[in-house]
Amino acid sequence: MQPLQIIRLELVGFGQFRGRSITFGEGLNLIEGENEAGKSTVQAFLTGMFYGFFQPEAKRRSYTFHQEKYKPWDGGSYRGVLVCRRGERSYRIERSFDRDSESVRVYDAQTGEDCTQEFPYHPVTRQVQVGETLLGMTKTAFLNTASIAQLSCGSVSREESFSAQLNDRLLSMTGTGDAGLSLQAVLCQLEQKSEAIGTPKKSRTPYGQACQRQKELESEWTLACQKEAEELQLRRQRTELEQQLRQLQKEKTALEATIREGCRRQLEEKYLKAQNIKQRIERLEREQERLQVYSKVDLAAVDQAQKRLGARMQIARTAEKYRRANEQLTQRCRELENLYATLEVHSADEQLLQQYDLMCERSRQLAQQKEQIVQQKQQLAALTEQCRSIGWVDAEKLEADVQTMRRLSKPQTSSFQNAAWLALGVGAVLLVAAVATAVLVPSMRTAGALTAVPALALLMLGGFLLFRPAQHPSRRAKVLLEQLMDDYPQLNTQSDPLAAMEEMLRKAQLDNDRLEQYSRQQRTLEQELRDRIQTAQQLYQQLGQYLAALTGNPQADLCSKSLRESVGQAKRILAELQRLRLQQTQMQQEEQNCAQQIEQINASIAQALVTSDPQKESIAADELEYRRQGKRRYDEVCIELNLQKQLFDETLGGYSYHELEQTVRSHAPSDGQEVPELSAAREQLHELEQQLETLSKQAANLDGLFQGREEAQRPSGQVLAELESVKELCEGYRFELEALGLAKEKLLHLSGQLHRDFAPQLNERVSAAIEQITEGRYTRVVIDQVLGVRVEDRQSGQLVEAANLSSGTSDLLYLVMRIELMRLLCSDCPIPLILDDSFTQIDDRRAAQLLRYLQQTTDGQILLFSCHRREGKMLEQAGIHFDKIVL
Amino acid sequence: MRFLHTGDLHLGRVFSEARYGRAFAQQRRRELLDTFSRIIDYANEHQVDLILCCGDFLNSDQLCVEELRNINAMIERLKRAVVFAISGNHDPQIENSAYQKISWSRRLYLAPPGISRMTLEPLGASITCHSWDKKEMTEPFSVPKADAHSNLYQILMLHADALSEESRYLPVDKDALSQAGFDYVALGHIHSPMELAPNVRYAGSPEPLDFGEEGSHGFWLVDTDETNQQVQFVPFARRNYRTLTVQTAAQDAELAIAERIAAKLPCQDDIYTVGLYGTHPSCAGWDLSRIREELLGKGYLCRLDDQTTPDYDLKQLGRENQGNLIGDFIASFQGETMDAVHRRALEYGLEALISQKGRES
Repeated sequence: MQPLQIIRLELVGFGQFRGRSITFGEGLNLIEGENEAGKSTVQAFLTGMFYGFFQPEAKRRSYTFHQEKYKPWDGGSYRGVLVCRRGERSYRIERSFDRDSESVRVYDAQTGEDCTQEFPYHPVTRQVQVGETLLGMTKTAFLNTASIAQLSCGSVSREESFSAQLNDRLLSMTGTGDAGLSLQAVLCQLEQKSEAIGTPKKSRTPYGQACQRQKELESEWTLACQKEAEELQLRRQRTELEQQLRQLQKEKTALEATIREGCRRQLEEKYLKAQNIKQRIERLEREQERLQVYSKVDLAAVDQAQKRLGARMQIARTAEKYRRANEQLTQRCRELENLYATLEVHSADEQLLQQYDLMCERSRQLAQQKEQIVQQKQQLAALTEQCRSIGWVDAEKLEADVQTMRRLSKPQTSSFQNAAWLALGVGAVLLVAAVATAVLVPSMRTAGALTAVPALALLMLGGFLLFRPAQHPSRRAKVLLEQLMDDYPQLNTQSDPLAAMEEMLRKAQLDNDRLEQYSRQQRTLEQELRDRIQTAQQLYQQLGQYLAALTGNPQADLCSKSLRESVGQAKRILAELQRLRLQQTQMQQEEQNCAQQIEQINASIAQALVTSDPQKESIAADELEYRRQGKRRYDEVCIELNLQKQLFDETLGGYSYHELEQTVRSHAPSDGQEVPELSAAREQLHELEQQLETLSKQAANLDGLFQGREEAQRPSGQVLAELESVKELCEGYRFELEALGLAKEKLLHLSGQLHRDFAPQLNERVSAAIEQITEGRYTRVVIDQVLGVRVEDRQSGQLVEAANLSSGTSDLLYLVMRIELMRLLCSDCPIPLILDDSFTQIDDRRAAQLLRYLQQTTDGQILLFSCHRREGKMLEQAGIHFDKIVL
Repeated sequence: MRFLHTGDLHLGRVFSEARYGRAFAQQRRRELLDTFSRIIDYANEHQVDLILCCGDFLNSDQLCVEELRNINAMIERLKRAVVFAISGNHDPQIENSAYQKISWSRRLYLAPPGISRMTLEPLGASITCHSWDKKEMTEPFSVPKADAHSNLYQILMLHADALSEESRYLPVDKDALSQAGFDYVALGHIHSPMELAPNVRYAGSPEPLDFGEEGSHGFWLVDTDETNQQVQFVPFARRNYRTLTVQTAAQDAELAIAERIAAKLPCQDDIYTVGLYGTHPSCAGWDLSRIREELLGKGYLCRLDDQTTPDYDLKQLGRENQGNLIGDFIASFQGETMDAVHRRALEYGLEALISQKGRES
């Protein structure tokens, strides 16, 4: 098969690279770059493009740390393209490393055709297996052989899977000469069969499920057996309980029979008793019917009526007493009236009698009046005498004469003068006014003229009066004296007449006053006398009338002793009569009251009575008593009847009489009757029933337990049958697994044998390479089945572990072993060898030898990454052609 | 008197899911109950006076109480007959047996453990019987004698093995049975009906209970009067077990084999044991489960007995691959006892090697 050649890498976005493209030559490619130039990144890119960053051999898709490590630094798309060629066919691998859009597609680089489907699909990574197909090895093998990273030469994987894979490939080639027959695949197929059957621990496999089911069934069976044992125990308990229950039931039945018999006897007694009570009840009912009339009697009313009846008798007795007293009073009145009739004043009434004292007083007044009249008549006579003794002069005339005398005796400044002067004055004023008016006011001239007239008249009158002729007083006085001498003879004219006259006037005035006084007294006395006489006459008449009314004799002596006594007696009789009549009236009132009370009582009694006349006292009382007695008896009968009925009901004890009778006659047993003598039996029965109830509950509980168990648990036999079936199934699985195991064992045994066949071949190739590179320092290398490397020390002839040699030599040994392993694995289809600074620990000489060895032995492409210029110089010095790529 | 002789109903028997599949195992279990129900109906329809059940009426430890109640309800349906049952090795009258779990119908009379005799005056019959009270009874059974003075129809009921003297299940001498003087000896325990003597019969089970129990299954119906006795076997099984063989070739497909088997099966109700003979492909044996499911889909329940052999010649294959892995693998089995595991391992290994080789090539 043609070697695989990597043509170009396009790091679209990977680590520090963005849009970087690297093209490789066909043979040796030296990729130089300083530290951090990205050599390891490119190598990781190569691995990633072929295999992705999945954990190899993982059962579930998981990633190596590279997936995170080589994310683009700029955060852009995380993908790349690898173009490779095998023979005539070129492949363009496009892979996206982003977890969200993770994918790998393979195209034909020449036609652009998508040939992804040509690659096998890996169910764990869920991607096609590009690296496995194109490189012909797993990722583990690739990383341990073709791709040798920095400082990892000695870190060849000791994983069982890698060594197994290696062995598988080697033995297939060496043993069969046919690399296609993969022992691993055969084993894998058998393993798959085994896995399809599963193991007891894998619960999702059929065998696991069967085992699980077997365990469950065993547990269930154990549990079922346990529960059945418990159930058996319970059943025994139940049986015992049932026996106890039966025993108790028997005892209960016997007791119930005893009780029934007792009850039957009791029932008969009860029937007899009920019979008697019934007869009694019937008798009482008849009596009750007879006394039914009293049923509605109100005993309180009867009591009240009886009390009232008593009260009525008392009242009647009181009324009778009043009546008798009234009669006595009437008799007494009559006697007094008779006595009164015998009196002088029998016709006088009380008023007259009452007036007697007044009349007596008036009689005394009349007598006094008479005396006073006499006295006054004497006084009047005396006065008349006195008046006659005094002469009467006309004082007024005398006075007027005196006056005249005086006037005549005195010069006269008459009043005429005064009037004259007044008239003159007024006339002058009026005249002045008239002239002034006429002069000053021409329009008032007429008025002025008119005013002047009276003024002149007045002036004239005044002049007249002032100047009229005067008379001489002595003459006139004389005349007058003469007349006076005629009138008053006693007048002494010898001396001064005026004084005499004045003396006479004074005396006349005194006498006149006395006469007038006497006259007034006389008139008064006469008037009093007339009044007295009139009064006396009136009194006399009154007294006459009074006496006439009092005694029938107006002339009788009012103040006589007999009359006085008669009047006094009459007064006493009348007062007594009046008192008696008052008493009589009271008695009558009381009697009436009693009558009214009796009426009321009668009315009230009438309500309590039915037949009797309430006024018929004895009958009513008897009836009331009858009613009372009747009612009492009725009540007693009712109570007795009720009691008897209660007793009857109690005696019947829930039966009707008819039922009881029927029961007794039919001799049927009865329950529910309390018989004292059976109480012990009943208590015993009660206890039995309680025990029965308790046991029944226990039995019910057991039944419940049974039921619960029955529902919850399958019978053990059923479980056992299923268990045996499952065991049979498990046995089948075990058989199959045993057969598969035996087959695998045989194959693995063959594998060991084959390894022994191919190991010398590998040892030989590695030994030759090492001998060349170390220039004969080491000539023999031994690699064991798990890729442990030992080298023979030429001096001692001992095999020394590679790890015990210098790190450079150890690295070299492992590097060569890996290269040879790769050649063995990929002898038919060489793949690129990728070395990333793998010569770091190897000295220049050996490195040059190694490069020469590589150039001589490698048919395919070599990608040699280096951070030094040493490898380039060595290659140039050795004249080895190489393509140099600087990162 | 008309009586029905049956036994070994094994009501409640659990069928192996490994052999029958879960669904059919359960169905078959129900069918046993249905058959008993049909027997009840038959007894009612045919005026049967007595049903003799000669043991193993129940699979005592495989029945839950609810099922027992259902069975009891079936017995209650009897209008005329009563069930006279003895217990057998599957329903011995031990503590906690199914007979003690519920109150049974008055129409079921279960004979007490040991030998007992019961007279059925109305039927003019006397039954002597033996009931089991343990699961195994290895001592030979001493057959009781019939009452020589009795005018009754005398029946002996036993659940015993009259076919093997070494049996652990109450071995009994069949000659002794026939000579004991009983008018009818009703036997149970053997699932196939058979007549050991004119008056000695095994009822067999009304339903065949496992592969191998081929032949007709049902019960005996006996009509008897003072002078005559008429005995007839009434086939009653819902299904019969049958056996047949089918030839296969390596190039056959499983579906074709299923078609071939189905074409040979006469009745869907029966249960078949199909023997596959011939060859199967060298890289893989027949997928028997696929064939079985295909047949089940067609309504046939079959047990497949794969007797086919790989289509390669082992010796020739060894010769052809001498020195390589296949040859070495075949050679590695030489000299070893080729038991079933070794044979199967060789098949597995060769199957893998050949298939892998074929795939890579």
